[in-house]
Amino acid sequence: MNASWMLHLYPKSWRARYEGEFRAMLAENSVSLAEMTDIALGALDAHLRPQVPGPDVPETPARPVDPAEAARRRARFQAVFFAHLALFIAVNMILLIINAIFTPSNWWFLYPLWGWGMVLTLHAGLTFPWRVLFGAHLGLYALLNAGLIAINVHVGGAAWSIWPVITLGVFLLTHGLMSFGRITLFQAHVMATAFACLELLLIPLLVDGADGFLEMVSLAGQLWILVLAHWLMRTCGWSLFRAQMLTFAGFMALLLLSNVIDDSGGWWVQYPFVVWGMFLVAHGIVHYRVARWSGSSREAMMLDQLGDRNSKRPQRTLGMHLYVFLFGAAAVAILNLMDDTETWWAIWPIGGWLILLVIHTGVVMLPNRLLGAHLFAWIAGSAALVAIDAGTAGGPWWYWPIAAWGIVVAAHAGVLLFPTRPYLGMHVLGGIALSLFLVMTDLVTGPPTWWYFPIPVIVISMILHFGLTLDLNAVTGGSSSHREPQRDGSRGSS
Amino acid sequence: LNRKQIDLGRFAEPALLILISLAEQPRHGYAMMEDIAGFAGVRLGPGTMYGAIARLEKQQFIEAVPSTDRRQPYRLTGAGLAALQEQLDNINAVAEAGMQRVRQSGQEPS
Repeated sequence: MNASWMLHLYPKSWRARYEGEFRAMLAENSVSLAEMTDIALGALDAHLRPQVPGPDVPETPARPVDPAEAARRRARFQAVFFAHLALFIAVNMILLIINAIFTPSNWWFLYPLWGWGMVLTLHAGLTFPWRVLFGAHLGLYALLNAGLIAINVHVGGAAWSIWPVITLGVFLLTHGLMSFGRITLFQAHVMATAFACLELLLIPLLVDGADGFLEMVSLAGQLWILVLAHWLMRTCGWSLFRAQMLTFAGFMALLLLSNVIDDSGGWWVQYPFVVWGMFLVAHGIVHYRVARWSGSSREAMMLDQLGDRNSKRPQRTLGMHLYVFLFGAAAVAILNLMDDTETWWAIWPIGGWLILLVIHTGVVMLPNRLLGAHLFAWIAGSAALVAIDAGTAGGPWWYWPIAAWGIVVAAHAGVLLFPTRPYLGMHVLGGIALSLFLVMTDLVTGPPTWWYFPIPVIVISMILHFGLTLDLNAVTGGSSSHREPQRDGSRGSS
Repeated sequence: LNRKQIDLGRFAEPALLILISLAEQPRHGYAMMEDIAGFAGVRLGPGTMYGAIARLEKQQFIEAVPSTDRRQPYRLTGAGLAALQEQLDNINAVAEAGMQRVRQSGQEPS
């Protein structure tokens, strides 16, 4: 038997030292089952009592940070947050007033206040970070559970709100211990899994009508498979792809077991099998293409690719996205075909993903990635609206959202393409787009031709704005950038 | 050498066999396995063999010989030779004591 694969059970450091010669020894003759057991025990021993020191990992050199630029960026983030806060207060005050006047018996405004409040809390946690993301996590946990408990108390009945308090509390606790450096990520994973399993085993005992004990055991088993995969990646240097294969096999075995003991009938296990299987194939292609490019089979390189925008790597990442999309779309289409319903629901997830792929293409292909994303999103979104309209009755309603969005894209382009005069750029390009819209609308709708009247106003306002900018230059004796903030979303060289 | 230095845990016996094998000449893993099977009648498993090799190398009783071959040969170091000598002396002393007691018992092996 070929036992070379068992080398992946050994720690990374051990393999770095002995893998070559160990393989050579195994190649000398076939390996019996007893010897395979011996290798497995040897791997276990190598983990429990490591004899080879871990490889020295070179520290990634930190990118030089300009303190002034960092302060500017921080100030910009904080300004965005306070704008969000002001909007939050204003809108919710309006909702409160509307609620109080028209439906005082039903305080529905609390729901948008709560939902938006959680988003605002997350935003606050990201803008004013405490222990990286732990502050955001803590705030979100408190607000979410406060709302759920309030709903539970208001509605009455069983105290179901205790479960998110416990479950999410475990994640919060482990995250907190990790944030304060008490435990590692892997230990946090094990701890959270152990608590979750305990809860899974308690639920059938405490809650009437909950899923059976075997279902909970199956779910707990899946959680531990994730821990095993994490451990193999961490200590044995398994790639993400290899870990995912193990996870796939383990999950499918447990789900199959659940399906067999499930008395509801039908082989529902085929759906996760097909969808995940297609993703696994796509991941395999990406994994081995990466290996061919670099001689390394680590997905970490893909992450480097995402960070380095000055090379051809973004194009490769886009290529990978395309592969994954093709396989994902095929998986969803197969699911649709396997389904008994006679509707083509697969169009929606595939279409949505296709829009994301087009946006990704815009980010990669255009020199200014922000403009590329927006422009390509507009193109894809417009195509989607036209396609939806083609499949439904009614007039060409798509014209209006496409035109409105197009004007916004043009204004955005003005800001990004004229970084020294962003407002003027927005005014000019947005004005041109608005004028075009008016002309087009006139051509589409026919008389009366009142659409033309605003155009002179737009042109005059543009000229005035331009003149004002020139005048300011003359007064300050420098660039108008003193008056208009610089906004450069380009890559510098472009 | 004190006891701690030559403490090889459950790999003590395989380690001793490896030291004996290398006392003759440098050998790579598979050659050691064959040699040990020949002189001791014990076939070490690959996991056991490399568990012991890793320990012996860490304690500097053996060292890798520079080689272009994928099969990495090892040789005994001076410390390894001394450790082997001490182990064999201990075994000899135990064997001698045992033989003496067998002789003193006056019984003949059946």
